[in-house]
Amino acid sequence: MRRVLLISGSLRARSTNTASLRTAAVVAPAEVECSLYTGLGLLPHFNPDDDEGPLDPAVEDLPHRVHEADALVFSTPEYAGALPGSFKNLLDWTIGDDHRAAIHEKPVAWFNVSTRGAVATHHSLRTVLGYAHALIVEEACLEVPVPSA
Amino acid sequence: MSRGSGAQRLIDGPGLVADPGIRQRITGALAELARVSAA
Repeated sequence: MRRVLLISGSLRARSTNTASLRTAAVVAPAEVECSLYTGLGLLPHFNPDDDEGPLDPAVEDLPHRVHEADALVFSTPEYAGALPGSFKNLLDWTIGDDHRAAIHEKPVAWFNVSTRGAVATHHSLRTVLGYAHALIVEEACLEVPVPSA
Repeated sequence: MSRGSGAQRLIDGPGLVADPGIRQRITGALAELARVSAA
């Protein structure tokens, strides 16, 4: 059994991106166990000074969830031509984790579900994940255009 | 922020799960991630 952590970049209750990840949990193959991360809105603003104990509970929980997963899937909207600030904040908290099961070399992918695409935000996501030395699995990255009418 | 009716259906209705093509692509993507992570 492989464990996949699903991370939405949206805080919106009725987010299309979160909906796509909930769908992934439903249609996952038998050998994959998905879990949806729900702590995005609980993370404090990233501050390197706060990256050591005692940690905020949300900051402590995030790396545990990443460590437990064999792979990560992101789905994020594009706000004003870039990653949502709250999502970039989450990514910032994941950088620099030197645990052997951290995002470093961990397989990752993203699903893009939108009417307009999100080229800029996925370019930015690729840059950040590259900086984190995550293993981007191109074959698992999906573009799922949603009709606007 | 406006939202297209296609996106609305995705959230309110059976959404992506009801589309066999999309369902297959998502399942395939997760299987590929599982394969790579197990290698």
